[in-house]
Amino acid sequence: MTAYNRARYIAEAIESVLAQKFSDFELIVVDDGSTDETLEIARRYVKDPRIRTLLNEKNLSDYPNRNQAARFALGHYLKFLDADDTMYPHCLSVMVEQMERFPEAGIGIENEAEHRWSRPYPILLSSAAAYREHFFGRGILSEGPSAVIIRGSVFREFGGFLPERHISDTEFWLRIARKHSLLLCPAGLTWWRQHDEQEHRRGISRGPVIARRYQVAVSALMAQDCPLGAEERGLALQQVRRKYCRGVLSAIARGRLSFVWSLYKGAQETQTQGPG
Amino acid sequence: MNTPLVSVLMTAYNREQYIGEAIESVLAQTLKDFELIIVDDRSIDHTVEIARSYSRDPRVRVYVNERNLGDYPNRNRAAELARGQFLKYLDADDIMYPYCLEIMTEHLTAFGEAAIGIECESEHRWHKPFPLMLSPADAYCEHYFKQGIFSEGPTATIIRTTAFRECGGFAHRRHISDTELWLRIARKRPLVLCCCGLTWWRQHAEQESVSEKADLSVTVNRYLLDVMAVTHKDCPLDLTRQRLVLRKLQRRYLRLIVTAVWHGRLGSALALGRAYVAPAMGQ
Repeated sequence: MTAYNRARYIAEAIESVLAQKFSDFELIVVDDGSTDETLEIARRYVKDPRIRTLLNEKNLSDYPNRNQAARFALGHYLKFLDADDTMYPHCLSVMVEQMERFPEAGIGIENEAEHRWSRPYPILLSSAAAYREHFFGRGILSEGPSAVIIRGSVFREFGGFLPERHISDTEFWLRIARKHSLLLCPAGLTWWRQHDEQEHRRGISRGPVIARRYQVAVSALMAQDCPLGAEERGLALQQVRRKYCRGVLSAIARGRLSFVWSLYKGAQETQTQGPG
Repeated sequence: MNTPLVSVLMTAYNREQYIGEAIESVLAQTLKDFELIIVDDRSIDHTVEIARSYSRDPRVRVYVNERNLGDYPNRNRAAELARGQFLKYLDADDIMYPYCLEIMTEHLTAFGEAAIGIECESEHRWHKPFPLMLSPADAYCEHYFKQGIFSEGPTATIIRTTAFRECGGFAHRRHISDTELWLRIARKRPLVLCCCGLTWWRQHAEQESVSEKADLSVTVNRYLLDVMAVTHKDCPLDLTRQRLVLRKLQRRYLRLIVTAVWHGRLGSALALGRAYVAPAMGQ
């Protein structure tokens, strides 16, 4: 659990972990230099020997702090839970049980659209199937860290999240899914709070986020070890580019020029990046 | 005889292909304190044999009706046989995830006044995690102004047995008797919204809900049901909201009639129109 100024919510988040039916866990809270009472509130719970609280010497920001938390982890699996979200009591037991049943899966992700599947969860997808589902289906890899469980060895194999502020979650899931199978878990395991202080809320419609999402998609599809065949890869790229162009055009139409500029720069950077 | 906490009610008609999986999903529940009542509605395939092969487990009881009762009357029949505090319907072509009973009974136990629990899909709209208790007025508002929470089928619900019996169970209408009962229960008693991902609803070609799409009478009956629900003397909505819903329903329905006329489906338009003119006759 990484936290920055979450005094309002962190108690609820911690209590949702302590209320898990699955009890073989450690809870690592890493405070990123909050200026409010986040850390004090977290420390109230350390009577429980499974809880450790840590304070960063300097502010690392969102994704580097997640990597920091993972460095302290001793568990076989890593389960991120943001300090403003909660887990339902069956979350860990379900996710762990399903990952144990499918040792070939590197990562498990909650999935909402279950009626499309012809069998119940958990559903194991090969790398290619996961990419196909993400790019041509319903963006299964767009879920945030709270919706995910990762095998610890897999996390370390890939070196964790990139430090970029936006979309580094999807970028990481794409990187993992390139080499490992992916497990779709049922929805309703975590509760994702929507509130105004969120990165997501502040950033979702801004140019840099959209530009970064585009870059992440393009570089995943251009990567040498992209699991899709040449034809599907081309189709997915075309689709991603078209959507981006539509975004640029509608921004121009609405006269939002700084927005257009950041999208344009994003596209330039993606081009110079090339495959790899 | 000890009474179980939950009665799982599985009504079945020609479900040999799926019923084994459904039963096994019940036997795999983390909550053990249940009885499973299977009522076969005179299947002509191997449904009963398959069900009986599980009755070594003393919690499983298999019944066969003397004559075919039809979908909802058979659900009432299964409820008559139940001894549990809660009723959990599970259709023979669906399955429950292992933690389903445990979570649903916990939720209803936590909210003692609530008569029914319903799985709810769009949790991101809520400011608190599930379970959430809604008063009758809030539940009706949610259903008619936001997302139709009462459109869920029996597999997505858990019902307090006393509340079911007070209401007299399902009415004998095809297709919409589930929604009709939820509306009736929620008129007087609060309900609990439970988190999603507890049951898995199979979609296949033999289903009632797939074939109903073509069925004009379902559209008519659904409209009549909604009109009756919001004009009922005990409707929990205030008068302003009742009028608002009614107008919304009528507008949507009129659009259907206009579309039917537009496409030259005059017979359909007439059938729809008749119900529009005399909604009171629907009862």
